[in-house]
Amino acid sequence: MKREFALLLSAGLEAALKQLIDQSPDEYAKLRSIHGKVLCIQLSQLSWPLYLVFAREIQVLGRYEGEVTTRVNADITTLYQLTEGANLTELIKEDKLSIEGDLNLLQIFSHFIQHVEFDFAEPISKYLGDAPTHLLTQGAKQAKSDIAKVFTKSRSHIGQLTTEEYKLAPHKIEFIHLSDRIEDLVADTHAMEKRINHLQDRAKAKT
Amino acid sequence: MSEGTQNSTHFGYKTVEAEQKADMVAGVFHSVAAKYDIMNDVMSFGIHRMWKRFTIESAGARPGMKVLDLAGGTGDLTAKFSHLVGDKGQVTLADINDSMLKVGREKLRDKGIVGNVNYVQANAEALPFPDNHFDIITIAFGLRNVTDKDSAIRSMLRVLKPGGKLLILEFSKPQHDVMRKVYDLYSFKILPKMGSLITQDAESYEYLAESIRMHPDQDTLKGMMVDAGFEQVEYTNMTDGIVALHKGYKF
Repeated sequence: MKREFALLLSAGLEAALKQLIDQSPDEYAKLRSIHGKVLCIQLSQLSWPLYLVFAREIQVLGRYEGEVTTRVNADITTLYQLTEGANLTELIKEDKLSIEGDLNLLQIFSHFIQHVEFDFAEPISKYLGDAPTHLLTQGAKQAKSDIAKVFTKSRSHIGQLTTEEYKLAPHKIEFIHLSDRIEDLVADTHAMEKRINHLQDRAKAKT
Repeated sequence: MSEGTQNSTHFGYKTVEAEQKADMVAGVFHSVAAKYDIMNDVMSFGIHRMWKRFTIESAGARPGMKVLDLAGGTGDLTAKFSHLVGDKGQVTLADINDSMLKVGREKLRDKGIVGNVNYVQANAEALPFPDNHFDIITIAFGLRNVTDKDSAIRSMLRVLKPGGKLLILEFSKPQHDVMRKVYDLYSFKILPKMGSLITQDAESYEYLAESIRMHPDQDTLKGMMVDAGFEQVEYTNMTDGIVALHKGYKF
């Protein structure tokens, strides 16, 4: 099963990258210099590496016997940070990412990924037509915000339920009040301690 | 392992004169060439892409290599190899059937794959290439249509460079009884109907199902490769052995 999963994953990645390139052929054409180079990504979540072979289309393989230009060991979240524009050297310093070989290739590629904006509507519109695609993407956006709304609402509902209805948890103000009283208590205790020390010092001085 | 008697061979379940088989196979592929790709996807539910992808990964193509995609049909493997071997490499797409070759060439050119791909109409039994010429030879779903498989395998050995490898991707024998029953039902009852619906050509797909059953199973084919002179021969079953990838080296 692992073999099938690995093949499916490579196929999926390859298809996604192909879509990306198809949407911005000019951007990718500028990367002629990285054709023939190979980027190996070893994700800590996967037991096998992923090889990206750069050619007219980016090929994704689970096995590659040729020369690898750059080898990257990283976490999937770190890679995501990289595509979001995080600083490569900082990540390396923090030990979240290790690189062997040509740093340039990774920089060029991550720059490319950052700068192409993927438009989901474009490929869908070919099959559905423009108007239904617009409806669909609007619907998806609406659904996304609705879900977010439901999420925040239910969070506040649960909060109210536990504090007001069932009194399982303290209310925010009660909690602040409690914290204030604890702070007062701490201050009082400190004062008392000082006073005791003072009295002891005085008693010692008398004897 | 030659098939049937001296002058006769199998065409699906029928026995025909050996000289006729090539023409009859050609007939089948002339009739299906135009819709070959879509039929592959429909018939295998797209799984053939996974089989081919696994073949590519096993081939281990590198920049600068010379690859022969035998019986390459509509060029699925050639397209991938072309990207992998780069500008310095060379991929040769060979097929005995000029209809298939034309479809393949058109498809690859439309995709912008030019420069490192050659097209050759060739018979696998007598390959028109010099000795020790290729680093990798693949033959995907083609060997079963070859009349004299032994001489084809020997011919491939001849044109391979020492250290080169041959990959045979071909239908084989399912490993479990349940799978075998489902597979039989599918390929004898459903497949020809689908063929007649999409290409109005049930006979070609009956031939397909029958020729798969007549093709040597995993171990027989392995033996044939060893007999021809290949070394480190091994096979990998895929989808429970419906398809097997045989791999052998020439040293």
